[in-house]
Amino acid sequence: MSQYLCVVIVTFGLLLAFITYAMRWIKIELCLPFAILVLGFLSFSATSLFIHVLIWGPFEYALGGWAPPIGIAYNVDQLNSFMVFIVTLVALVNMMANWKGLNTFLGDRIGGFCALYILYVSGLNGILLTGDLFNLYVLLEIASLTGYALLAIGDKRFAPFASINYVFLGTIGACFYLLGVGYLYVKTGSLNMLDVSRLIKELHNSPTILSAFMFIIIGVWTKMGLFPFHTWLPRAYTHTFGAISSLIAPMGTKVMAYVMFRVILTVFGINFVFRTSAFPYILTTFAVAAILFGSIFALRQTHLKRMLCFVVITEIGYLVSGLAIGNSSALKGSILHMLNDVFMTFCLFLSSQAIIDKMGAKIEGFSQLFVKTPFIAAIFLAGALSVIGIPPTCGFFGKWFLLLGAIEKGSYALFCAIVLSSLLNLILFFRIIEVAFYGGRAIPTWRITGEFPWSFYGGLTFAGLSILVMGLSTFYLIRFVIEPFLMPLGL
Amino acid sequence: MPDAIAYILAKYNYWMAVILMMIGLYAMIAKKNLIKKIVGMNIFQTAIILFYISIGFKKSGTIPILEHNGHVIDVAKYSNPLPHVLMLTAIVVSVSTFGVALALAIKIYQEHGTLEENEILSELEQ
Repeated sequence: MSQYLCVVIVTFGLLLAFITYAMRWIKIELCLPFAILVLGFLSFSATSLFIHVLIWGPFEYALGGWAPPIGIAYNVDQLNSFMVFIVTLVALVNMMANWKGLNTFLGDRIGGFCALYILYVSGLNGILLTGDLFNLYVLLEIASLTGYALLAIGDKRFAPFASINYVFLGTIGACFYLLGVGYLYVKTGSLNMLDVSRLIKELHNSPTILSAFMFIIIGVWTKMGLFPFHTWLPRAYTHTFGAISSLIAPMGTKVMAYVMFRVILTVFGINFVFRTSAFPYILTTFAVAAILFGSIFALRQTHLKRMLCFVVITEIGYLVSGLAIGNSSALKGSILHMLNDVFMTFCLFLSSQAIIDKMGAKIEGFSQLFVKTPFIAAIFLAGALSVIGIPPTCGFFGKWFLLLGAIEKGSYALFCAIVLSSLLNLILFFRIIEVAFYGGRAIPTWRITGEFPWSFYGGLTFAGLSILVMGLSTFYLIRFVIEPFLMPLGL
Repeated sequence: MPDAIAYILAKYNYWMAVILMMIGLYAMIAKKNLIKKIVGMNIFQTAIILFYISIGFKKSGTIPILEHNGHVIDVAKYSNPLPHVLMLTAIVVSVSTFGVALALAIKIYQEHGTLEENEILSELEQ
């Protein structure tokens, strides 16, 4: 029974999004509670699906009863069911935390917003669960199109213009992906991921497969916001409304990173990447560039949210570096980092939204932050420590495995880049902490709450705790989620 | 030289798709007007649709409908329907991308009173 959940999560999500919009014809106030109900249902289904996979192991679901190479299949395994679990959970918490803010900011546009929000989450769930290359493209476009629309909400002067730039780059990325899938289809005649991976084993030397790989990887990198293709990211995320950036920043790029892992590891296989010496070099160069430039650009920013965007770009570099190293520990590290990064980014963006609300966006203006809003500042600090990589926050463990892998493989360029960027992140966040602790003077009020609704503090508590919980459960994550994904691939 | 011409002509569908793609990409990169950029984006997507359709096509192939009155099914007679069906979805995607982009362009025009990218940028920098 619970194997149907993988389809329920995607199709019901897409369907219920429109019913959420239709709620505005009954009563406009119903939209938001109904949307939260829908997200709660998705989150509950995702939890059941994850538990089902943990107990019974991975399975394949053939849509409409058509057997996989011909029909579309959903391949559910430990990694993607866990990703669906955290994506739906974070989406739910984010919606609940921003309940009041959304209601006052959006007014009667709330119905459309809720529909877009659920469509976006369902699109992401579909990307994660599907085992079909073309199906992935369609769901990717569902998530992207709703993402463009969501990112255009916010600062009227900047947000639509930033969003249209994202439309152009995002479309180029998605089209490159589609073209690469076309090349694979020409050569193998199949679109099912497992079938394609079986068929291209003998075709590794074909230039068509090579071009397909390049097109797909460049397309996915554009959507991920890897360093030279990142230009859309800071603009789009900075000027949008807070609740939207704390939805899209944690998920959009990480789900695309999942696509990168899925396509490279499952479809092409890691041996394809390491068959020639050129690819590891290219990957290493991109990863090092992303890590270093992300950190350096972040140092230059004075706008808090824009700075966090560059932190996201640095994190994307970490995710690619695991592939560039390509051994078991590094891949474990980067997949672990991908999972942790959802929570780290969520924590930073959610708390920064409150900080910006209260103190403005400029970092110089954060004097006495810890006295004025101790709780929000503490949550922000937890996210910051995690990005720097201080145990027991979750950011430490991903980096640890990455560094371990880099030493085993002897790729010292990446080793140095990761260590250096951790130090740069330390400077980055201590710049804020210095202003927040020692800048200016304020009379301590010792009021922990107030100003923001309780649900927002609940969301912040969740974000702070999740960082610790993810950090402390690293062993279980690796044992039950990541190793079952890597083991069948021979890693 | 005749070899090269024969080579190009043999795969003219791919060349056309590539040329169209480059036109679209050029418009997206080089044009300053947002509407021109959006049209370039649409040309870019159409090029890929054309590529898919051409790979499913067969010379003198018929529509892929099974006949049950004693005919032996000869695959060589039919065009491959799968890429064509996939492109139905891709056309929907490209239309909706076009719609979203135009809606954003309307918002930008309402806010800035222009669709020229450099004018908007110089206004934003102030």
